[in-house]
Parts: sequence; structure tokens; C-alpha cells
Amino acid sequence: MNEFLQRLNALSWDACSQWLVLIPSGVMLLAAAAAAALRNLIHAALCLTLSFIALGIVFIALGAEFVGLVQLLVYVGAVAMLIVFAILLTRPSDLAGAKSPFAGLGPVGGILTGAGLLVALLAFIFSSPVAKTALPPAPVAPVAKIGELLMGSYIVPLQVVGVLLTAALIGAAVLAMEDKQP
Amino acid sequence: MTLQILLAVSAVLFAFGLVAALTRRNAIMVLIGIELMMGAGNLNFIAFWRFSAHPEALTGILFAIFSIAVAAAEAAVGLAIIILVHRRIKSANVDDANQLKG
Amino acid sequence: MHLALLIALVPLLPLLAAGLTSLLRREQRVFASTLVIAAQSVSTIIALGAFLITLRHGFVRETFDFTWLTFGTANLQLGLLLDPLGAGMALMVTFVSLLIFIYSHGYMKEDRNYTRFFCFLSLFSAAMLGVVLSNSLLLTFICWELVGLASYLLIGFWFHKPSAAAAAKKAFITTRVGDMGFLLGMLWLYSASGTLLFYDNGAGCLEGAALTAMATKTACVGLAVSNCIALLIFCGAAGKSGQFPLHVWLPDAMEGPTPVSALIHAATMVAAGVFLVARVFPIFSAAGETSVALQTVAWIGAFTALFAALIAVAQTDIKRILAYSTVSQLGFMMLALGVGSVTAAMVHLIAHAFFKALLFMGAGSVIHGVHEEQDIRNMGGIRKYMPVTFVTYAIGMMALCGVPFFFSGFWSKDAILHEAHGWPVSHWPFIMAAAAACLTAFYMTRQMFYVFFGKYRGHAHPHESPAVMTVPLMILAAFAVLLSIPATPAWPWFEGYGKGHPVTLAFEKLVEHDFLSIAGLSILIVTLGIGIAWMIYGRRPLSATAPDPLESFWAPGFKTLANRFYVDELYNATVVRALAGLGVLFAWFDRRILAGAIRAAAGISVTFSKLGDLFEKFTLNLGFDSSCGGLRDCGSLFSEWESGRVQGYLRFLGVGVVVLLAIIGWLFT
Repeated sequence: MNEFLQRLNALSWDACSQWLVLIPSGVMLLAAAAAAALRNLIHAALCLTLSFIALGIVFIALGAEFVGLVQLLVYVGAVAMLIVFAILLTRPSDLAGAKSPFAGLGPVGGILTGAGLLVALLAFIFSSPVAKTALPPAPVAPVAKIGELLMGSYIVPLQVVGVLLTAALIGAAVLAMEDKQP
Repeated sequence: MTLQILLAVSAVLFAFGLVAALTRRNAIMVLIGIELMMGAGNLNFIAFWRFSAHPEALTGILFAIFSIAVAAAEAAVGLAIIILVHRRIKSANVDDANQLKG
Repeated sequence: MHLALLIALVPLLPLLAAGLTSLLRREQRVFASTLVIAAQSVSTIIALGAFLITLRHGFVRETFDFTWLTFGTANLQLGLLLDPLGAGMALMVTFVSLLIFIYSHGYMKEDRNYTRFFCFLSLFSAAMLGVVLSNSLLLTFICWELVGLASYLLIGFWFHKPSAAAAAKKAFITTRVGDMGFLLGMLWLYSASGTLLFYDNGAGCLEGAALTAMATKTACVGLAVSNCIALLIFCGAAGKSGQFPLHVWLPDAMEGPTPVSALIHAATMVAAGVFLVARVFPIFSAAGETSVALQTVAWIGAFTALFAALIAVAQTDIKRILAYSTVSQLGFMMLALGVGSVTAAMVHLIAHAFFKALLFMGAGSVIHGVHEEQDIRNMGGIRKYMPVTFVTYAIGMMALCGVPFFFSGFWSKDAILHEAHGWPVSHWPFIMAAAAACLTAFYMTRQMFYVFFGKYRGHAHPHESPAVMTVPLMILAAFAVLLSIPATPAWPWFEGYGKGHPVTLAFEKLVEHDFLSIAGLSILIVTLGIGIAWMIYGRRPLSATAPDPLESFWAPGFKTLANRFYVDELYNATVVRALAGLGVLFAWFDRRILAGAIRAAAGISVTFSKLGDLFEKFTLNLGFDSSCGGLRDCGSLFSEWESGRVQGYLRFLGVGVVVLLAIIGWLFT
């Protein structure tokens, strides 16, 4: 595993490293736009999956291989599937979406809010001196080190997340259970 | 390749997610929007980690890992709630879940 | 210190008994009387002890003072005094009071309010002893007023009888008039001498520098300050001792039960006036042996003695005769003080206390025996039915008249006549006193003939009184006789006791020309009085309905005497009417002007409250209501935003974030 990752790492920074980041980013953005805009829910879910995959590739390209793989495993493998199952179970009467996909409040307000936020963030990003740093040399993120940190300094957050996941599991199961007939 | 580009990408992704959460009718679409926003956040973490002065501390990576875990838990619970609400009001439409109307 | 505590107990024990008895219920009679009599007995024993202490060689004067109030640099002090005058008086008061308390048990046995009676008796005893043993004029005044209060309560004991209630009021108000003078005199004395203590190792108001200062300074109408103060204090004494013109309350005070008359209006309270003058005698005599104050006292005393004796001649109520007799004898005592002999006055006071108490209690016994009949015209021949009462009454009567040699009254009255004869200012007081003595013999004999001799003219069945009433009579009678021994000039024991020097038995004093002439005159007077009375009343049988023999002799004169010289009517027409008129004026003022002012003020406040109400209704309430309406409208406006739609809320959140970012960006660039 380690070797695989190391080779992946070497690969990522050999040639046209920035394209390895930019192209998946573009794909991700397009897929995300599609996921936000498509009327058909299943289509939207699938575009989301594509977006997640692209994000995972971006992670790997940036040198956080473990995170990228975790992203692929968890988001694509679990969350996206979960979304598809939920769509299945809630069975909206119009999967094709005869009516408008937008909420009763209309798209305008939301789009404006999003646009405004985007403008504000971009303003911050492009005016900040911090963001102008040069690219440092490639970092090494061995999995062993991650494991050590998780079990060492970050043991408490790990346990908390464990409890959280347990609670979520039990909660989700309880919530989604069939109502017992009285 | 500067940090700015990565951050800009993340911001755009976040905006897309926000718009999806704010404008779509279906509750699951709102959840999708939320997932997109969380992904944008993760991207931010990793980007900062990549350009940080001490990347060997692996802070960004660990933060991103925890974030993914929490997002997964949240997605699970949220979808369970959507299913439950659907059972009650027979609709996945956010407009129909307005009993908190004051 | 022990002596002080002992002396303090003498008035305190009856006071405590009074306090405890006031808390008892009406049915706890035995407990009440036992308590009171026990307290009084202990007081008597202590007083006896104090008296024995003063019998030491040399002059005894012990004082115990304490500061009561301080204001700034001045202070008011109270204190107790043990000297021959006080100790002798205290012993007499406690002893006579004790006998009367025991007598009251028998007399008031059928009365419903027996407990209350004993409570008041004890209160009176405590107050009187306070007057006697006090070393401060202020304490004397306080106890003086308490004595007046106790007298009021006791005179009006049967308050449901209108005459008794009126008599109590009259007594209190008349003595109050006198007490005004007393108060003014006390205030003046305090300002003139800086202290109200009598004896204070040379710093008291009756000794040394303060006294001479008062004697030499002159105040209004050229009188010395000491004379002015003395005259003012004499006002109080005159009120309490029933001197003319403040004598009007004493005869009416007979409305009270007989033990009250015996205790208060014979033996003790009326003697308080005489005692007061005796106590502050240095102030009276500061400006000289014949100062204006002393002259006034002598003249008023002599006049009162004659005046009251004349009235007593025409009275028909057994107790009223004795009451006027008391006034007359008090006049004698005042006369003795006025001519400068404190000893003669005190001797007569003590002797008078015993035999007057005896006479009153005897009268009470008679009244009790003929079932509450008080008119002497309806009595007669009582000596057959009540022999013990008769004998004791006769002894008392003889002592009062001054029957020679064996009875204390003779010696004491003789001493007074002797002193009055030797007064350098005028002989008239002596003549008036002699006439009064003659009349005393006359009216007492008249009373004896009406009550005890002849045939019984009443309708009841007279019977002798029980032992609890007759035994005190016998004890008092014995004292009436025994006290004659220390009073003779052959053994001037009282004189020696009062001044603190030893006395020797000297029979040759009895045959001095000085003494013999006055004694002879006294005997002549008494014989004359008794003889004339016997001639008028003793020889023919008396009837209940026919007019008095004197009346048929000289009707207008007798009528004037019977109506007490119309003094009461005079007071009624002048003072009482004036006060009533003043009362009407004040009532009008109160009704019209004061009430009108109050109504106006009330009207103002009502107007204000009405205005406030208007303001509240139209300004506050309206404003409040309209603002509430506005709030409601605002609220309904805001509630429109609560659509229940999550996305709407989220949009607001997003906008808020944008705004925040903008603000942060603006702040940091």
C-alpha cells in the first residue's frame, strides 16, 4: 500500500503537476453545477458521484493520498449510494420533475445569495497576502504517520468521532425503522 | 499553481453547494448541496496543508479525515430523517414541511 | 448601700403588689388581698427598722441619689432620704395603711370588685410612701401625681354612680389646679438653685448657698425668690390638703368607700400637703421666721380651720361631718407650720392620722351596721347595738376634741395654740384657732348625740361589725391614747426626735405659767363646746324629721352653714361656666374651621386623584393600548417571515454571512 502511494506521489509531481489538479477540478465544478441544476434526481445524484470522484483525484494530486482514497471510499462508496437509496425510498412522484425543481421561494434569492458569497470569498482570496505563497516541495504523508497521530495526539477526537458514528448509526436505524403497529 | 487558484476552486464549489441548498425543492437535493459544501471545505483544508510551512504535522490531513467522517454520519442521519418525514407527510418537498410556520 | 435598698423597698413592695394584683382576675380575691396585705406588712416592718435607725443619738440624715436624665450638662436627679421626719411619717403611713387594709377586707367583702379595690389601695400606698421618702422634689411630684391618680380611682370606685364619678373628677381637677402652682414652683426652684435634690451634702436646694441665694434675690412685687417659690409650692399643698379655696373636693370625696375615706382623706393623702410644707420648710423660712410665705400659710390655715368648723356644725351626713373636721384640722396643721413650728404640726398630723382614721372606720362600722344609712338623723341609740364601735368612736372623738390629759389630741392641739399665741405678727390666728377648737368640740358632741344616744330612729336592724373590722378600731384607739405620752411637753420626745438631740423627762415643764395658761384655755374651750352641745342636743330627744334645734334658733345662718357658704355654687357660676363657654367656643372652632380645613384638604386630594384618573385613562392607557396595537401589527408583520420554510431561513443566514464578511473586509483593509 505504502509503495503504491509513494509511486502515486512521485507520479503526481513529475510532469504537468498542476494540470493534474486543474483538470479534475474543472470536472468537479462542472459536475457540481450539474448536480445543483439537474431536474432529475437520479441524474443529479450521479453527477454528485462524479464530482466526488474528481475531488478525490484532486486530493491525490495534491499529495494527500490517504485522504483522497478515504474520500473515494466513503463519499462515493457510501454517501452517494445512500443518497441514491434515499431517492429510491422517498419515491418522488415525479422523478422526471414535471414541476419546477426550484423551491416555492424561487431561485433568484438563492442564486443571488450564492453569488454574493462567492464574490465576497473571491475578494478575500485574491486580496490576501497569505494566499500568495509559492508552492513548497512535495510533502510526504505516510499512512503510518497518520495512524500514529490518530492513536497519539488525536486519540480524543478519534474516540469522539467513534461515538458520533455509533450514535449516528443507531439514530439512523431507529429513525428509519418501520413504525411499530400499536 | 498557487494557493489562490485552489481556494478559488473551493469557493466556487461552495457557492454551487449553497445555491443547491437554497433553491432546490427536494430535501435530498438540499442534502446534496450540503455535501458539496462540505467537500469544498475539505478541499480548503488540504490546500492549506499543501502550502503550509510544516506539512509534516499532517494537521490538514487529519482534519480532513475527521471532516469526512462527520459528513458521512451527518448524511446518514439526515437521510434517515428525510425518509421519516416522507413517511409522515408523503412528500420530500421542503415547502411541505412548514409546520414551524409562525 | 443596703440601707438604700431597704428604704427603696418600702414603696416598691406595695407597687409590685399593685402591679401583680392588676393582672389578677376578679375571682382571685383571697390571693389579691393576701398579696397586698403581705406586701404592706413587710413595708411596715422595714419602715419600723428605718425608724429605729433614726433613733440613734445625733441627727440622722442619709441620702441615696441617682441620676435619672441627663441633657447636656444639666441633669435631673432622684433620690431617697432617711431622716426623722420621713421615717416617722413612713412608719405612720405604713402602719395605718396596714390596719385599714385589714379593715377593708371586712368592709368590701360583699363588693364584686374587691380585687380592683385592693390593687388601687396598694398603688396608693406605694405612691404615698414615695412622696414621704423622696429626696428629690421631682420624685415627690411624680409620686404626688400618682397619689392624686390613686385618689381619683378610689373615690370613683363605684363609678356607675354618677355622683361618685363626678366627685372623683372634681377631686382630680381641683387638686390639679393646685398642682399647677406646684409645678411652676418646682421649675422655678430648679432654675434658681440648679438642683431638685433636697439634701446633697450641702449642694441640695434646701441647704447652704442655694437657699441664701434664693432668699436674697427678689422677683415680682418685691418678694424674695424663696417666698415666690414657697407660695407656688403651697398652692399644691393647699390643693392636696383641702385648704380654702381648694377645699371643695374633700367633702364630695366621701362618695368613695369608707376605707378610702379613712386612708386617704383622713390619715395620709391630705397629710401629704402638710408633709410637703414641712419638708421644704427651709425654703419657706429662708427669708425669715415671719416671711411672707409663712404668713400666708398661717392665715390660710387659721381661716380654713374656722371656716370648715362652722360648716361642720350644720351637716347631717356622718361622713361629711368628719370630712369638714379633717379640713379644719388640716387648717390647724397649716397654722402650726405658718407660725414656725414644724414639730407641732407633725405631732398633730400623726396624732390626727390615728384618731381620724379611727373615727372614719368607726363611722364605716356604723354605716355597715345600719345597712348603708348615712344620715345621722336616721340613726340614734347605736351604742346599745354596737358597743365596741361606740367605745372606740368615743375615744376618737375625745382625742379630736382635745379632751385633756389622756388623749393625744389635747397635747398636740395645745402645742399649736401655744405656738400661735406666741406669734409676733398677729393674735388673730390664735383667736380663730381657739374658736375653731371650740366648734370642733361642739359639732363632734352633736354628732355623738345624734348617732349614739337617744332612741334609734331608723328602719334597719343594727348589729355589731365583725372582728376583722373592730380589731383595727381597737388598735387605733389604743394608739390615740398612747400617743399622748410622747406629745407632752414634760417629755418633748417628738421635738428631740425631730432635731436629733436627747430629751429629758421634766415634769416641771407642766407647771410653767406659759404652758398652764394655754392649757387652761384649751380645757375651758373644750368644756364650753361639749357643754353647749349637751345643752342643745343631749337633754331633749332628737327626731329625724324636725329641724335641727340650731336651725330653729337662727334659720338663715344655719342654712348658709348647711349649704357650705355657697362656695360650690360660686365656683359653678364662675369657673365652671367660663370653662363651659370656652368649650363651646372651641367646639365651634373645631367643627367649622378645622373640619372645614380638613374637608378642603380632602377635596384637593380628591381633585388630584380625579385628574390622575383622567390622565391615566386618556394618556397612559390610550398610549399603552395604541403601542400594544402597534406591537401587535409589528409582530404580525414579523410573523410573515416565519414561513416555516427552512430555505428561507438559510437564505437569511447566507446573506448574513456575506454581510459579516463584508464588514470584516472593510474593517481590516
